[in-house]
Amino acid sequence: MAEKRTMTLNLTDDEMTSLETLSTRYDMTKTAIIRKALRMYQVIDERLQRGDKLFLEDEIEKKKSELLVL
Amino acid sequence: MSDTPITIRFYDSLKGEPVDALLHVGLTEDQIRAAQADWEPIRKQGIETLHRQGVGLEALPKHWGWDWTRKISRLGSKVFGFYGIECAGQMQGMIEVAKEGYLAKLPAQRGKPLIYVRYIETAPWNIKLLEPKPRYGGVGARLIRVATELSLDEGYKGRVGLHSLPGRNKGEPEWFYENTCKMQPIEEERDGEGLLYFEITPEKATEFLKGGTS
Repeated sequence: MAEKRTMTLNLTDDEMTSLETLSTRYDMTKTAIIRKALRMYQVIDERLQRGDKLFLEDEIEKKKSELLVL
Repeated sequence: MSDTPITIRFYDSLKGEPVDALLHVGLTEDQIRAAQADWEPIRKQGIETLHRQGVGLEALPKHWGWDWTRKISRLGSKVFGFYGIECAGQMQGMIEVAKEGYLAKLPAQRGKPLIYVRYIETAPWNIKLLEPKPRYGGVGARLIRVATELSLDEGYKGRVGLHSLPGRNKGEPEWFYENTCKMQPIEEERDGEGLLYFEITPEKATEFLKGGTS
């Protein structure tokens, strides 16, 4: 709905493969994957800036590990 | 955070012709407070009127207890989106969606992202239970159309999911989502309150958008 602007993105082969894998898995265009990733990065970054921490939890092993986001 | 409203056409049964309406992409706190203030007395009046007519509590719209001002804390979030349709200076319906955190559950779509409708409500004067010929019909369908178009815009191919308030009779929520919005119920995915889950596939979303109001 919002107006969009175009940019050129330079990726390595590995990065492009990762993007294509995600694009296929989630049935989304590569652009949509990048936009979604950016939004999640922003959401996580806002929380980290507030002092929150991001953890991943393994429900079976009952293990929690902190995820570092740069 | 709100964008410039989009002008859409809506049929005004009072005037007998299509009129301009505003689709608000992103709502403000003031808009939500104004809508809640407009709707609340009509809901209360409606409950009293229907009670006098012998309509049981179970038949009253369950969303009449919602307080939209309690959702204000999520305004401006990148994950949630608020939209509203305004006509004749009043909000005719509002919807809150989540853009992240929900994945499709239909077997052929499982694991793919979708737009999840958290709340959707039509102004009480547009509900057929209160007003058999509402001035602005089709507000609910137009709001589901907004969610479907957002899904396309997000790259989710039109996938939308929601848990419906109960009611399988014609015009009631579950009937509406299945028949008007072309959504598919999934019995196994009821939520903790027992609300039935509905989801629309990309193919059905295309069909729904083709048949919907512009």
